[in-house]
Amino acid sequence: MRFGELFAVTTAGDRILLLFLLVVSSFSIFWINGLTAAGHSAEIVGAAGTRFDRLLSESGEFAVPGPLGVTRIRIEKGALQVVHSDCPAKVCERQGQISRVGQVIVCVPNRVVVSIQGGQSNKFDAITE
Amino acid sequence: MTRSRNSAGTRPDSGSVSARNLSTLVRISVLVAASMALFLFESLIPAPLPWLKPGLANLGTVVTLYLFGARAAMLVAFLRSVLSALVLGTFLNPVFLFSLCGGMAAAAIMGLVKHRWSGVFSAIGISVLGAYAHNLTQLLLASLLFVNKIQALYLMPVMLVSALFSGSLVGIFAHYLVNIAREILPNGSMAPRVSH
Repeated sequence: MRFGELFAVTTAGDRILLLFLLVVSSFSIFWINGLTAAGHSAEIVGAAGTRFDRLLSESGEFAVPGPLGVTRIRIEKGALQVVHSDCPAKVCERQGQISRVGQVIVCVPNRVVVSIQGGQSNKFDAITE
Repeated sequence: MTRSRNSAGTRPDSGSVSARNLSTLVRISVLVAASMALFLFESLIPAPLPWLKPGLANLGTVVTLYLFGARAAMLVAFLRSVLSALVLGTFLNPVFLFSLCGGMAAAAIMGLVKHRWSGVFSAIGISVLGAYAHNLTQLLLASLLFVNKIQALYLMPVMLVSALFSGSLVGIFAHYLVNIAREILPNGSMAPRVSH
């Protein structure tokens, strides 16, 4: 099968559609980025319910203990990433950097959940008047 | 059911009519089985993200649409989702709901576009539209069902770009399969002459 043969199969409508969808899909990356705000702080929940916050503006590295060992988390230039984990699959390390509100890194084996919070992150479960 | 009606038929030519129906029934069943095989094969491939699958099962829907029309394509998509879910053990759980709604939406959009703008798109364009309908339906469902809507949106660019490539690939396969099927089957999709 040659490429020329395939190109002959497509109609003009096909080519316009594919080009249009390629442009729209590519631009949706920027649209999503604009839609979601940059994170303000990170909430780290470790094993046994330990919970603390870190500001994304303060660079640094810290360790969260878990049942399998430590999960080392680094905050740098407003983004957070797991740099080392003692878990077997290393899924959390491969998640890379997160910085936008709502993004999460979960390490299931070591029971660590990191989520990015927004600027007006509410410290309360609910507010009533 | 078809057989009993066939033997009880009063008109002498009713036999050939039901043979034709029976032949269509068998061909659609084969297409359901083929879609199921592709769907189950696909669920065995490890994927980087749980929702990032090539969508090969849509191949069965596209081929059915071209050979037997929109209603048969909807039927194949429905049966494929239900039967695969029974095999995988995901029947009536959220995964099944996603698969069913995505598959049915894809079949409906492809059937509608092929009917309304016949000849504007080839199987490739139709298949890409189906892939987009599938993914957008699933994203819509995710944002309706899940609490955190932002996280569902993060998947969108990845899903849309991958749908473009997987949809084109499925369309290319469908184009050649439909051509082969039309060469083999007399009268295009129609049942072959039955000689008793």
